[in-house]
Amino acid sequence: MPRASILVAFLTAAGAAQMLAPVVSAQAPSQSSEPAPLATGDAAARPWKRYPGWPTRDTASFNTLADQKLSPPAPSAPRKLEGPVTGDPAIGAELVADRTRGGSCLACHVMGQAGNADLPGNVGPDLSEIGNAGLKDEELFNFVYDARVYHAETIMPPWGTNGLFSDAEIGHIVAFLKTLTKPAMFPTEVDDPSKRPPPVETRDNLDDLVNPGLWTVEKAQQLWTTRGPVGFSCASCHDRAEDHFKTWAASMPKWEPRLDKVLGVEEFVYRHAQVATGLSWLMQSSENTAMSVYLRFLADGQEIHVDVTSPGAKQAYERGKALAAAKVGQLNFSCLDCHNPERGGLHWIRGQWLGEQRGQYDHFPTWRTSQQDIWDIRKRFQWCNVAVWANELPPDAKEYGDLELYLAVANAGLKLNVPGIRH
Amino acid sequence: MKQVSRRDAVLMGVSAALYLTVSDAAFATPAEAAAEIDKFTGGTEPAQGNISIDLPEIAENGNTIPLNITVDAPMTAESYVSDVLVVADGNPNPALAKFHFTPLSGRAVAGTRIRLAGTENVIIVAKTSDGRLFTDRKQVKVTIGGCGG
Repeated sequence: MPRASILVAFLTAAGAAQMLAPVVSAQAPSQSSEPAPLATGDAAARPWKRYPGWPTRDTASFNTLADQKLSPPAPSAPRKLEGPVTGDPAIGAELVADRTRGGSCLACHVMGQAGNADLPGNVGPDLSEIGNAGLKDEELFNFVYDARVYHAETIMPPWGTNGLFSDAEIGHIVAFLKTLTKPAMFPTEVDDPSKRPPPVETRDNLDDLVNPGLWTVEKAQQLWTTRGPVGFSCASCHDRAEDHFKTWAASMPKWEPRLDKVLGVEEFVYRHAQVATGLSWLMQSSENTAMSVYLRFLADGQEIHVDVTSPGAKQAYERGKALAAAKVGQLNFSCLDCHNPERGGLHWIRGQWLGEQRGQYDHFPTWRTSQQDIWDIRKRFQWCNVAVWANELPPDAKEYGDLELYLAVANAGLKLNVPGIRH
Repeated sequence: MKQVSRRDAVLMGVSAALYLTVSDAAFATPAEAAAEIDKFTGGTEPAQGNISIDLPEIAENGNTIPLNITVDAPMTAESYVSDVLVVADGNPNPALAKFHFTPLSGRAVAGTRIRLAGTENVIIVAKTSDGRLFTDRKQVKVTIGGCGG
């Protein structure tokens, strides 16, 4: 296209984009040092609908990352019980392994032969001999009902207060706990969480015979030259992607003062492409994920280094840090409860290894072999929220932006390696 | 691990068949796996050994588990490993794969990824051109997730 017609096309296009969505700033059709124009409004589907196939329970009466005033407060004292706890230890033995209750007790505790000692976890203490500990029925009951009455900082879910187990069920669990008097005998060595080897990722994630997620790179290369309604493609302004984006993704996410929130690569891609091309690549659409993988793929090998020096970024980081410690969901877990090594991090929940925060960002978006799909970091946040029985937020929620910034800082210096491949 | 004898397998088959009449289990049983093996061997009991199975002891999920098999046997025109059967005794369809070799293969080595429904045994049976049979097996523990459903 001759230069003059590009300009004419751009002027028309800029007008068209204005009608499509409010534009934060306009820009000539070339990559310049001016801030990139960004669309305002929602960057993901509204109303947000949970993915089909995900757990459908609505846990609206418990804390989310956006509202931490919903869950019932911790009781101030242990409950007084009238008389001894009655219960059937056989029913209790089933309840401690009941996987409809958030993984239940075996997720975190070895409990003798409960669940045939099949891959129990070790976030909490081994309870195989708790029956010898001389605890009163009422104490055992209260430990299960809400352990916060004994240890304010416990990460154990308040099973009774949050309605996960009824009083009668806790009675059965107490009856079972009292039968535990012998160390566990594990059917195989890997069943023993103290001997089970942590997973080590050795796959060559950039080999497309190994990583099915690499379709995204090919798709993004096609999208790069796809013209949108505005008349431009990515290539119109950034002709050779590999020249322009050698380092960019390693500096993301970034505080965006014009929108008063943190933008990750995915949200940036939606907002910028929407204005510049008219294409609507909503977050977590296949186009958005493909482009977000590609932009990180181009910066693979670069060390993650995000800016937290501007006042806005500093505040966002502090908010993200607080969100990482916020207790959410009916199970009442924070990010740190599971991923800080001083709490659950680097331990087993049942047969799954809880990684620490460092190492949980450099490979996203990542192919998930368990899901047979490629997920960006926001989808991972959403899934964790649902897994702790909290309602998830839309992927463009500002809380996820703050949290992503905090996570990126915890991963500073690690080299981008995208798309990853993981469980 | 204790090897399952033919007689054990038949007994297991009987109990499994009884079990199946009172349940609607979607997973295969060791008896169905044994039937697949019998189809392959023609009923002859394979000798234990001569096969190295490279499989993880534990897998975070059953979707793409790397499997590498090496049969330690000469590959000459007179005697070579001709067929290798892979069976998983807990999968809905227990017969997972069959590999064919010729003397020109040089070595009886194969690698693939398999999908397992849960913790179960992967059984390999190899057949040579002159009618010898080998077998070996390995259990893969497929992880139980922590968060529940």
